[in-house]
This record gives sequence, structure tokens and C-alpha cells, in this order.
Amino acid sequence: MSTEPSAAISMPPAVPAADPPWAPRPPFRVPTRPPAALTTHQDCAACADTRSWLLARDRAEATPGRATDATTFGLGWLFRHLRWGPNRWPFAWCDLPDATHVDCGVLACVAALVLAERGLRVERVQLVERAAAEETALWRARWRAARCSDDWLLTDHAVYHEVLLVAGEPGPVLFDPTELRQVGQGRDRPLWMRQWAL
Amino acid sequence: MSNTPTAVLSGVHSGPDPSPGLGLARSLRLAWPRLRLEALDYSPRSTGLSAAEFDRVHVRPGWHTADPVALCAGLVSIVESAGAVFLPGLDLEAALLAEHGHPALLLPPPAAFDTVARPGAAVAALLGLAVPEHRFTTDVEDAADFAARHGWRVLVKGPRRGTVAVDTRPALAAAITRLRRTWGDAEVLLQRRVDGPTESIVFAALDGDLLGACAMRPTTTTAAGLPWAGSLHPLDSTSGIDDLVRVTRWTGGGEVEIVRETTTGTPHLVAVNPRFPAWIHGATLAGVNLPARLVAAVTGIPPHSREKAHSTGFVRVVEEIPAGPHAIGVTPQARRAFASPDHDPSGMPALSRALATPRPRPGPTELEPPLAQDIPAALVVDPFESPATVFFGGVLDRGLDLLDGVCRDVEDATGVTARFAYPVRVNPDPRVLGAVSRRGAMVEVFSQAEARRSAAAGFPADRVALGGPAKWWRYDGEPVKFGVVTCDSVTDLERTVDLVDRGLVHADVLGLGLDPASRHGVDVTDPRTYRRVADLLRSAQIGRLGLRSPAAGPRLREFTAAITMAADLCARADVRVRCVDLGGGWLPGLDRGDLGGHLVRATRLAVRELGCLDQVLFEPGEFLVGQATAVFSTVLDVRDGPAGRAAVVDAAELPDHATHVLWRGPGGRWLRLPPGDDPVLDRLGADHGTRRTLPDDLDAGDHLLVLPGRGHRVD
Repeated sequence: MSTEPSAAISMPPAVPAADPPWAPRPPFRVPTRPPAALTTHQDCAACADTRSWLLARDRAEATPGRATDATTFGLGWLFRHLRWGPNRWPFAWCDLPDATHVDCGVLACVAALVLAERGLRVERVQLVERAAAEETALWRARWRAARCSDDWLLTDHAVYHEVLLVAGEPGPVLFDPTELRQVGQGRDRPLWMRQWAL
Repeated sequence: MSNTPTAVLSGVHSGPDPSPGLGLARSLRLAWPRLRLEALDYSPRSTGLSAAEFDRVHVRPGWHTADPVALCAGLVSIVESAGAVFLPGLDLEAALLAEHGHPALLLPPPAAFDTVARPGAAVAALLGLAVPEHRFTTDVEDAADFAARHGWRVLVKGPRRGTVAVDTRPALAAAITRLRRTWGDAEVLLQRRVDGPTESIVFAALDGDLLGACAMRPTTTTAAGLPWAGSLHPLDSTSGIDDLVRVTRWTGGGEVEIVRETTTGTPHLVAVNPRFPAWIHGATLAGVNLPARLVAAVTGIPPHSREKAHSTGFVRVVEEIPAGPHAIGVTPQARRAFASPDHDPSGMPALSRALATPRPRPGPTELEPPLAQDIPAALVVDPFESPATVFFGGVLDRGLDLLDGVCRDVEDATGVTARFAYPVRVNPDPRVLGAVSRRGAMVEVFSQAEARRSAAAGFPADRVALGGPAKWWRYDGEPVKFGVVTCDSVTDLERTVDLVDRGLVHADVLGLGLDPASRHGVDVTDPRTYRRVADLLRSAQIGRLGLRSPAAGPRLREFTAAITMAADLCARADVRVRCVDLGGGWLPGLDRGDLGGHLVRATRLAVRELGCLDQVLFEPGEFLVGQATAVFSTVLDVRDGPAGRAAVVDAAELPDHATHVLWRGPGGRWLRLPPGDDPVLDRLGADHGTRRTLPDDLDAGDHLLVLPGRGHRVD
């Protein structure tokens, strides 16, 4: 996968005025790495089988109603097999069938492959989102218990996240495959955002 | 003239299935804080009567204790003496009151009730909605036929009230009985169950002019599917509600319930209620106070408070309030007070039963020609003893003729050879196996013992399809040959491939059963299973591969998904699929066109995904022999009791939910017993769900033929 920063780098406007003035605004380091990418082992039948399974599974789930679903993009079936949680990197396609949990990077890669195969124009998007201290404490403990890197937890109140920008009608949609919903509106407005062409 | 209106509201119970009265009261109180509100209900158990919103309460006699027309006249008198307007909260009460045509009763005209009556096809057309496939029936057999055609995912509805979701035959029979007993109507409405998100539209109108409307999507529902929280949305201009209220000259509140089918996105009409819904105050809190708009339009008194959007959604909470004087001293109610509609404090079941037309008790009917000829052929002389199993050779021959024709139709339409394999386990009677063998068809066996029985009946090995999870149980290790061996798990496939590699088993076609919906198939939608099967297919030397995936009726969607997955899998393993088995589950009663059409669709889907095929198979079991046997029995006793009549016969066990019961009195001819609620019990007193209207002259010593009678322990 070639991941180049696209020409258009969107910076969302300032935090909405609705937020209380005492809401924490700690600084965070802007991520410099590209979006996550799954490894494909050379001559690995398992890697190829997994990708084949993924695309066949999506084809098998096709319904007439899916074409108009800009909320979940008909990707609910992914969560019959995958659960959000910590995984170690690097992560290969052949690791997917046995993975107990996968993080937002894996889910974004998988969803991007499936949606691109359907003919949709998809771009990877990196976000920094705000989070509550209780949440980040819980996630940090969970990632550490799984002996996985928690560097995505940028501060106690800001987390790194990966989503997709899907071109559709009437306009592009910022789609979060981890939560199967559109993001970027209202209180979901990210603190920082960068697009990558797929 | 007073500058605040007075309103009488009926149906104020607030329970798990609440009436709208309390929500209406809160909405009106929000518009006119000093409004006079009077509540009216039909039992002191109606919890909303204790609410502080009401200035006065009227506890009316229950519908079962008084004449409904007189009760309505009394209600009109209450409204007139209070100088009030009346907003109904109870469907059936509203329908009854509409006949009065009183201007203070804010109700749709009587003709509008006919328009919105279930299933509401005319309303659906106005609103641009689809109506789920449906059928009115009084007959359990007819209902079962409809349910089977829709994969046993159906709703049973009373014509006016009551909805029960069923997915089995016993549940269907029980639901029909319960709806009849509760609501009093002989006829029930069967409807295909549409799965998908629901949405409701609430509206208010005055004499055909729309006063406002908005939509609600439930965000939390109760176990019964009723909204407990929801989000409110403005209505787009194309919803057709304005057409509906104009055409029907609607007055009052109304609700349109819609479900959007997940698989197709098509919106279907669920119901139209001729009153405001119980969640009406949720719309008010979102800034659309429809009850106030209605009362203001009727009385000409503008609201004292403007509509205000407090939120875009609502949630319900449970709240304890002081019981009112009418609720003090109410005797404790039996357990499960909320479980049965009969405990509804507003007494709608009692009113519905009072309004239902009494149905005449039907008598026995003559048999239709094929059955009338089959019985004398099968019962040239009465069985040596009663009870006994009777075999109708004519029924079987006609079924085999039909299947031969269907195979030709499929071959003509698709170019793929079609054959059927009769599942021996359905009825291993040698007469059935012999008839199938003479037609050159295949048999499907699930054990080595069934395979030996088939061989004894004359089936050569290449016309035997071995399947099921116990196929190698008591296998003696001697070399064997089969036409098809279908594996329904990965370990089964590994073991069978091993037996083939060692030369112990020869199979013309080695099959892979795909059935993610059951345990009798490999779930290739699972990525680990997909990989294991791919590895196995790459390493095994498989001559001709077959796939088996049930495609009958509503399973065509699952069949398509399974075949799509398997096509990619086989392409990756570089194995070509030669044969597809479309499985069983074909309904008795399907005609040649229906069965052939379904098989053609499935075959074309398979060819599209898998490429050219040598053969398709299907497994008609019940389809072929479902009506070919009957239990011949003698009536031992006819019992009359408070719950009706019951017949006891000498068979030790009867078929569950028999499709036909035929009766013959001494020296008489065979007649068909009509549908009804009288049970036919076996000699152990067990009720197998077979219910008919027993004739008055049924007596001990009469004979009954109960169809179908396969495999039942009659002696």
C-alpha cells in the first residue's frame, strides 16, 4: 500500500465553544508516522487465503440495501469475527484469523481493502481525538496487560485513531470502521486530522 | 368563554405497554398550565388514574359488565357535561365512539377506521409503503402453509388487535388459539415478519387538514419491541401523510408504524393506529406539541405556552407516585399481571370479544376428488386391527410424477441435469423405497444401516448419497461405493478423504456440506475454517467435488452467500465443483411451477458463481411422502367439558399438528373435519395439537383417519 499524505491536509476549527472553559487542553505530539499497514508475507498461502476470505465474505453479504447505507457501509459482519482491542505490530494478513483482538489500524486496513474492492474511493485518515482520563487509564492498563504498545494514547486526554474518508453521495463521509459510524461532527470533532491517499 | 379548554382523556394506564392518556395530559398541561383534565378508564387498576396531572378521574364499568353502546353513550354524556373535548387512547373504544359523530369527540370518521384496518393496503399505497405478504385465515393448516412458505418467520395478528411472532408449528397453533380466545375473532391475519429498524410517524389532523407530524426512531425498546426511548426527526414532504388525512378526512391523532427491511431497504407498513401513540409526549418535548395543536384548532383557544424543543429525543423513566383514592383497596392481582392482555386495565380484549361476530360451528365437508379416490384404494378392506398405519400409493405416484416433471423443467431451463434423492429417514417403508427405486431416483442415507436397507430395496450403490454426521458409525471397514458422500464438518472431510485415499471408499462425487445456519455443515464464513478447508482441498486428490447447501424457500439468501464463499474458496484451491445438492425442506403442497421455479433460480445462482455444473440434486422428503400415510384409529370416547369437546382415539401416539382429520360414522362415508378448537387426544390422553370442530354425532366406535401418519407408534 502506498501511503502518501494527500495535498489537502484538513485542520478542524477550534474546539467548539460549547465545551466548558476548564476542559483540559494538554499539548500532544502530532503523529508523524503513516497509517498502519498489514504485512503480506511473500509466498504465504495463508496471507492470500485471508484476503480472499475477506473479499468473498463481503461479496456474500451483499444486499440491495447496502448501497445506500452510508452509516455502517454494510460492514457489520466484520464484528462477527473481529473485536476491538490490543494487537502487536507488525501484524500480517495471516495473523487475522487467529487474532482475538485488533486495533483501529487493523480495522481501518481491512475496511479500506473491502470498500476499495467494492469500487468506492477510500482514503486513510489519521485523527487525534479527545478522551476522558478514565477512558485512557482503562485503555492504557488493557494495552499494557496485553504487552502491546500504548503509544497511541498521546496524553491522558488525547488519543491517536485511524478512520477512513469514503467518497459517496452526496459528499465524502468520515467513517470510523472501529465503531461503524460517521465521525467528525459535533463533539466528535477531532483535535487533529490528516488524510492519506490509498 | 373560558380561555383554557377542558379535555377528557381515555386510556391512561401506564405500564410496560402504556396507553397514551398520561402523555397526552402532560403535553396539554405544557401548553395550558391551568387546563382542566379529566381521565377516564375502565378499571381502578389503571395506574395513570393516580397521576397528579388529572383534576378528575372517571372509573367506568368494565366492558365485560355492561353494554358497549351504553358505555359509549355514558362517555359522551361525561364529555358534554364537562364542556370538554375528548381525545381517545384506546383503539377499539375510538372505533365504537366514531359512530356517534359527536364534534367534541376528536376521532377519525368511521370510514377511516375501515381504511386503516389491518393490513392497511390502501393506506400503504397512499404512503408509498409496501405491505408485507399476508393472508387471512381461520385454518391452522392454511396458516402453516403460509408460514412454511415464509420460512416460519411470521406474525400472527388479530384482525383488530394482538400480534404474536411465531417460528414453529406448535407456536403458530398456540398463537391462533390464544388470539381467538383473547380477542374473539375467528379469523387471524398471517404476515411475513420483516426484519429491520422501525420508525413511527405521529400526526394530528382536523377534518382532513394536517396540523403537524413528526417521525420517531426508537433507540431503546422493551422486550415486546415497544419504544422506551427514541429520537425525533422532522418529516420530509414526501411521506404522504397529508394525502392520508385528506383522503380519509381525518380528525384527531394518528400513528403510522413502519419497518425498513434490512436486506432490501424497502419500507413496509406495520400498522396505522387511530389515536396518538403512547410516546406522544416525546414529540412534545422535541418541540412538536400535536395534542395542543389539535385542541387549539378545535376550541380556538391558543396555547398559553409556545412549543419548545427541550431535546431531539426522549427517554422513559419509571416513577412511583402516591396511589389515588380509587386505587386504594384494590385487591391484589394474580401473578403475571402484565403478561396477558386479559389483564389490560382498559379491558380491550373484553370489548373486542363483545364486538366480534359469533361464528357458526362448521360441519364436516366432502373430500376433494384425489383424496376421495385414494382412500378406497388404500382401504379396500378395513385394517385387520385398529389402530393401524395406512399407505396411499396414489399420493406417492402422483408425487413421483410431479418430481420427474420438475427435473425435466430444471434441465430445460438451465441445461443442468437435475435429479432428486429421497431421504430414507423420512419414511423407510419398503413400499416407498420400492416406488422411488423404480423411478430411477437416488436415495439419501444417513447411516450404514440405511445404506443396507436401500440396497435391499434395489438401489445400486451409485444411486445412494451418504451424508449426515453419523455416516461412518458402525462402518465395518470393508470397501464400499456410493454415488455421493457429503461431509458436514472439517474432521468429517479429513476422515472421508483418508478413507478414499486408502481405497476403502469410492465416491463418484465427494461433497462438502455448507450450512452456516446449522451444525450440519461447514461454516466457510469463518476465516479459520476457510483456511483449513482450502489447505485440505489443495492437498487431497478429489476427483469430482460437490457442494451441498439448502436452498429451499427463504434459505435461498443463505444459499447464495454460502455458494459465493465456496466459489472463491474452490477457485483458490484450484478445484472445480461438478455437482450441487440443493438440500431438502421442500414444502408439501408446492406445485410443479413453484418447486421448479425455485430450483431453477438456485441452479442459475450456482452456475453463475461456480461455472458449468454436471448435475444438481435436491432432496424431497416430506414433499413426497408427507401426505402418503395416515393413522387409522377408532374413537374410544367423546368428552364434553366447559372448554368444549374432545375425542380420545385408540392410537398410542398421533402425528403432531395433523394436516387432515377424516371421520367416518357407522356405515357412512369419509368426511373431512373442519378447523376448530376441539382436540383429538391419543389413548394416553396426550394432546398433539390436532384440533378440529368435532361433529355433534361423533361417537365412540367411529373411525378417524389422521394425516400424515408417518413413523408414528400407533399400536
